[in-house]
Amino acid sequence: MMIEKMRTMSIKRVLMIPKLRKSENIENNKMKIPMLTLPWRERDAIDEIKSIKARRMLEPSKEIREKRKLSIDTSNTITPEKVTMQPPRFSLFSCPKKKQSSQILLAFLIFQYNRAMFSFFRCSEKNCPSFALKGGEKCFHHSQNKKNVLDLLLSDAKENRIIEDENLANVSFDSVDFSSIDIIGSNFSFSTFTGCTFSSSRIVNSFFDYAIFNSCTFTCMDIKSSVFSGSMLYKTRITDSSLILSSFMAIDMIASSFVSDDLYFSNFSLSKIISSEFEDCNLKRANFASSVIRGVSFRYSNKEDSFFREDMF
Amino acid sequence: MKIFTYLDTQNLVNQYLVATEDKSAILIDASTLNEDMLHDIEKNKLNVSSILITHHHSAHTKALEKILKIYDAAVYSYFPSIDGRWTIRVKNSDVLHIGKSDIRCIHLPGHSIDSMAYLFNGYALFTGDSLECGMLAVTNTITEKEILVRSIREKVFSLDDNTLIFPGHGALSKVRIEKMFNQDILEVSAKIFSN
Repeated sequence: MMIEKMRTMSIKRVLMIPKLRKSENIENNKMKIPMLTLPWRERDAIDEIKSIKARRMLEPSKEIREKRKLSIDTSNTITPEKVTMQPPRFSLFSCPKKKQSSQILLAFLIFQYNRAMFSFFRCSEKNCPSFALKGGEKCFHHSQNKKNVLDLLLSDAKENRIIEDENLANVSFDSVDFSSIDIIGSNFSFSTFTGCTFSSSRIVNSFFDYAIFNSCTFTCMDIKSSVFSGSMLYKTRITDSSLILSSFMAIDMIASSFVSDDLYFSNFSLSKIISSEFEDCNLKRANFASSVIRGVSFRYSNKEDSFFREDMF
Repeated sequence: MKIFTYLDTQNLVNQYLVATEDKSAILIDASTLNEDMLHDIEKNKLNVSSILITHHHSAHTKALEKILKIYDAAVYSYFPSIDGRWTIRVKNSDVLHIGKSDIRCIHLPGHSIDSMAYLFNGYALFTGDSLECGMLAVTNTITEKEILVRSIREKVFSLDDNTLIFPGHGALSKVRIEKMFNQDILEVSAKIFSN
């Protein structure tokens, strides 16, 4: 009898303990589903659902979509084909007036930048190392009527509001307005820009290496993963723009300014920066190693978050 | 040949999809499987035939299992297996003919023993972590860094100056830019030649 009583007692205890623990946990709001116990397929599925939810959060609401549809329907001049050709506009962060956390920005930017594309071909001219113009066989300098080619390219760009996969290396642009023209996966190496304006558009995965920017203005730009290495900025002003993951290695920056820009993870190493300013810029993880810096103002910028060497000044 | 780029925001890893003229697609690394990539593949009616792994680090291979569930693709890498899955082994100076692309394999040890770079049609070089815009990958020892610099100088800097570099992290680059401004290479080279 005693043994049986003992057994029942022990069974009751075993049954009671988890119940008690469960109730305690509910009271303290500690009940959580342990993720590790889920089989891997379920975990994958949860990850997928989370990513889809995140994407849905980024998508425009129904009202905005309907408004867009209405605006397209009412305009008689734009055909549906042309509408589909136009890239999605980037309005949410196109003009970051205030400093924003770049990591949060990146999560949003991925939605817009993922489909940058290259389709480069070599120039068919013998011993020419340049890439051919888009849809052509020869590069810009080996094309027959350069002026007409350039005019046609720029008029196309203004109409479609995009320059994509284009090879315009070593070309001079004088007082060209690139406002609202997205530049994606394009090559402008050794080009010269004089008095040009870039505003309210995107530059993604593009090459401006060894280019010269003289008296140019960049306003409200989204520049990502683009290369400005070896270029020269003279009297050039870049304001209210985000220049994430871009390379400014070995640039000559003279009498130029970055104002209210996001320069997260940008590389300014081996540069010569003279009489310029970085005002109210996000310089987190920006690299200024081995640069020559003279007469440069870092007013309101988080200079301490970037990489410097002490003997630079 | 068209090159689509994707960014894995978790590890800031670049992933590339190369589409050839005959609609076959080649993935460089398997860091992410996102909707945009699937959309591009479906929209362009591409057939993902191959996956080229630059090195075995998990940030670059974590989506391999998922991708292989959807696409029956051949996996190429320096190591005979990645994440317990057999691969087709590639060595230095092997040439792969996938679709209409000629791909030259370049072994760049240093960051990892199996680090490979893939040169597409002589002008697009996918370097993985070995060579990034203006810097080298992290190495465990100085000796490994020297080995990496030597192999880059020998195998990458001998390519055409206009060769485009598509790194595993960060901005794109060109061989000319790296030759002139890559600070890590300049520093290590100075040490090597001073000795």
